[in-house]
Amino acid sequence: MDVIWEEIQMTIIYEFAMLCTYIFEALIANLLFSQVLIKKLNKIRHYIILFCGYGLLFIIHSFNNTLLNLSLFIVINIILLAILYEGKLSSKLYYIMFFILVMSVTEVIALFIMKIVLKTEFILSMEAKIILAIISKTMLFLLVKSFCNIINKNTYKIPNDKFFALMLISSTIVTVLYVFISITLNIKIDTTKSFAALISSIGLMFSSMLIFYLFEQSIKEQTNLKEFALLKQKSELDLKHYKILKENYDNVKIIEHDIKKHIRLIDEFAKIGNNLEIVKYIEGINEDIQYFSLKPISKNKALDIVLNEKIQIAQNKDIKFIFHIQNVNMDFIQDIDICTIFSNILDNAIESCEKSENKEIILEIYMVNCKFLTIELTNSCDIIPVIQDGNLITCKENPNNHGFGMKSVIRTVKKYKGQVFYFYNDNELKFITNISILV
Amino acid sequence: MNDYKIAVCDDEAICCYELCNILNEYEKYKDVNFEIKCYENGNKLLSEKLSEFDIFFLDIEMDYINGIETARLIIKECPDAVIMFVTGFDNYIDYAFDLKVMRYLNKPIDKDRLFRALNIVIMDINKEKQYINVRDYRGQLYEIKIIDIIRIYIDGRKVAVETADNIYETNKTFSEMEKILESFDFVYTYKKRLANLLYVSGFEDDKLLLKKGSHEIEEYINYRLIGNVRREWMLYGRKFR
Repeated sequence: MDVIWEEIQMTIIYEFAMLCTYIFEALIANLLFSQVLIKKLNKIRHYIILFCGYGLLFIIHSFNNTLLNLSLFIVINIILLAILYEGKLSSKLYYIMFFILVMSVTEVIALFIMKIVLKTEFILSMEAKIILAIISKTMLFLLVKSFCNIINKNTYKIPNDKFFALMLISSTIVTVLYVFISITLNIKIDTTKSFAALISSIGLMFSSMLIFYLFEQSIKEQTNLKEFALLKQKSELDLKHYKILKENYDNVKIIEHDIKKHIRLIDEFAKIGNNLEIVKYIEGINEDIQYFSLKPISKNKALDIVLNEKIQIAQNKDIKFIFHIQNVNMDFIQDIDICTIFSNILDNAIESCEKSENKEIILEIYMVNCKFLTIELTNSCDIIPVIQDGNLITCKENPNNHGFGMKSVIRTVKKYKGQVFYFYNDNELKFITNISILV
Repeated sequence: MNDYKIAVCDDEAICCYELCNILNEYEKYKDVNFEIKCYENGNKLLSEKLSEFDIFFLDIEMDYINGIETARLIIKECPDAVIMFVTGFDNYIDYAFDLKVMRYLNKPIDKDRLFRALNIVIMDINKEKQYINVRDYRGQLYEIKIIDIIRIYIDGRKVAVETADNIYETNKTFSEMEKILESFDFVYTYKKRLANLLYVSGFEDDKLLLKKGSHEIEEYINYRLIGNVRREWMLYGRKFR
């Protein structure tokens, strides 16, 4: 009685293990096909239909007819792909064939390693057979995953070095599974232990997939966080720009209010014929207009914000700030990058002016050869920097203290196929930063 | 040599007047003669004989036909024309515009800036008028503008002179050529190679891209000369300030 009961128990466990391998296979198929084809249905329906299909395959497998298994495998997969994915039948057939090919290759490899390493021709126990199936499925997963990672052009792609590290873990799982087989073959183990071996094999199989899944999830979250930070930065920029415009608008309102008074006075001076007074008076008005603390300088929002902020800082530190900006379109540079470039170079210029006797910054933006957007920043600098071939080596007593700002400028400029050069004029004690970006 | 014909095209009479005043001031200051003609729109200017003019000042925002379109038509008729755009605050320059040299002046016009630009422009116009004799590979003699030379280099025993449409050779030695090109914007990329910065359309770490007609050619830079090329490039670029 006990023996029969034990046998029933074992059969249930074997069938459960087989079911798990089918579920795993369904997940792998889903991974591959979702990578190359476009899904038709929503998530829940998609997975219900997928598991139904593979459930059917699991039921058929118990007939133990290889030819029937294979042909039904193809048929069911064709039906599944037709229901679940969009696209041409021929390309779907092609991917199914590819899947079957990879699957047979992994099965052969799994058997081959078994023969080489464990030196056994025949597999006697049922446990060993099932674990071997688990091994081949794990290998199948690793192959398919590698393939998907190569063709994946998504932003959530796992970087290659990390992908290899994860592969190492999964490969270790395969090795451990072989150890399990060798144990079941060499030592007679009781039902409980073989039960434990099977369950942990299944667990290991799923965890090989799980580590990739979890890692991808964390990449996704990270990317979302970054995007959110960028968006936040952008909205802050917009807000600052809005404030500038608002202030400008208010100033214009004040001047508009005063303008009638000005015209009346100029009119009176003109009637008397006192030209000198008129000129003086207009100069006075100009000074009033100069009062605008924040004003649009270029047509570029981001540049205006940075410039206004830095001009304010320069003024507070008694630094003379001169700029001449041609109306060139800088919209092809992202706002964030404009901020990076200008705030870093201007910060450096201000810092250098603070330590110098002369305090002057000149910013010029112009086009060269109708091809290069050129940003030239000249600032006073009493400390002689070390410059080699236009590359800045250092300009501070402690070289470890600086470089991050300039590095990020160079990185950003490189993004737009640009170059950053530095020069030093010993006679005038002026440091020149020259950035040219290909338009 | 010191007489230049200038066309000023602006639909606001006061702007024309202001610009003419500054130009007259420059005449006295530099001892040159300007013959200035003012036009209130592009159509009127285009009906004139354009090749007579040396310099064009064009307002961008004009009625009927804007400054950019006018410039396009001027370039069609005389490709070597020097064009200066005068723009108000609200306009961008279309930089896709394929002009040899293009300059911008913001309104209201800054006298110092205009003077500086005129110095360079007058120098450019004079350069425009300098020619050199070369031969093609069949030995036929040609007279080409020095400004059209993209690069020169030693080829065998002769000096090769490359322009947009051909590679010529000259009987002059390299050092003689060096002297002739001294006042132009040439830079050494190797010990015996000179490239014209006017044609630079790309700048990478160790090479220049030079515009040759409709395509680009590569000009590698000797690593010892990279610092110098960068410095010369910056100084050359300042012409367009």
